[in-house]
Amino acid sequence: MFSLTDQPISPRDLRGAVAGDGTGAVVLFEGVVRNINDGRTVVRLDYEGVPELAVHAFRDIANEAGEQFGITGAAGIHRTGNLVPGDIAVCIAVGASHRGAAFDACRYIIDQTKHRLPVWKKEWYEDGTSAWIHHP
Amino acid sequence: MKTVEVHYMGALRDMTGVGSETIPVDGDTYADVFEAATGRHDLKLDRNQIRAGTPQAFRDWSDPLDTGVVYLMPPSAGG
Repeated sequence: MFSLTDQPISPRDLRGAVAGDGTGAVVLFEGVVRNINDGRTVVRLDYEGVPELAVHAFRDIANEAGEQFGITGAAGIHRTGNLVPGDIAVCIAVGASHRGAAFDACRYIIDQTKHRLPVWKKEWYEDGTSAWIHHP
Repeated sequence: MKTVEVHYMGALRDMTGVGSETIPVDGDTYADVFEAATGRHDLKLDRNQIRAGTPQAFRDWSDPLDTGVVYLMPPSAGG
């Protein structure tokens, strides 16, 4: 289960999607907008993405995590729109039989999500300038 | 000659100055869309750094053009 949303993220909403009878551990990761990056003060982040492609990319990543670590479920949600420091930009929930697999799978999923999800962010700084992250 | 609606995502939008546009494409692969789009805006980009897709699926550059709407996407920057 995955979606892009322009609304504030409620991590609690993800939990039900990954916990079943065989689930002994749930790991929830929140990625939060930081007010500083590479020494510059960040006042705002603008995110955009391609919704359906993001769903496909997350499904691939979650399937890989399932094959590698053995999980009972994975869910994710990523923001689009204008965010400020303190806002949740991404949330990942992973359920597994035991905590080791849940932690490992969650780490794998968020790492891959940052590199493979068709989502882009533009940072705005306190001096009014801006920059896209990962400029080609 | 086909016409394709091209969407420029992330930094590509600022580099082209448009979010999307309909452009003529001489050829029938996604690589031809890349050439048409970058040539039009005089952009020197490494194609290996860019991904292509329809609104529903990622595509390889050599894939036959099977849609009228193409997304050109720079390296991801999620999280």
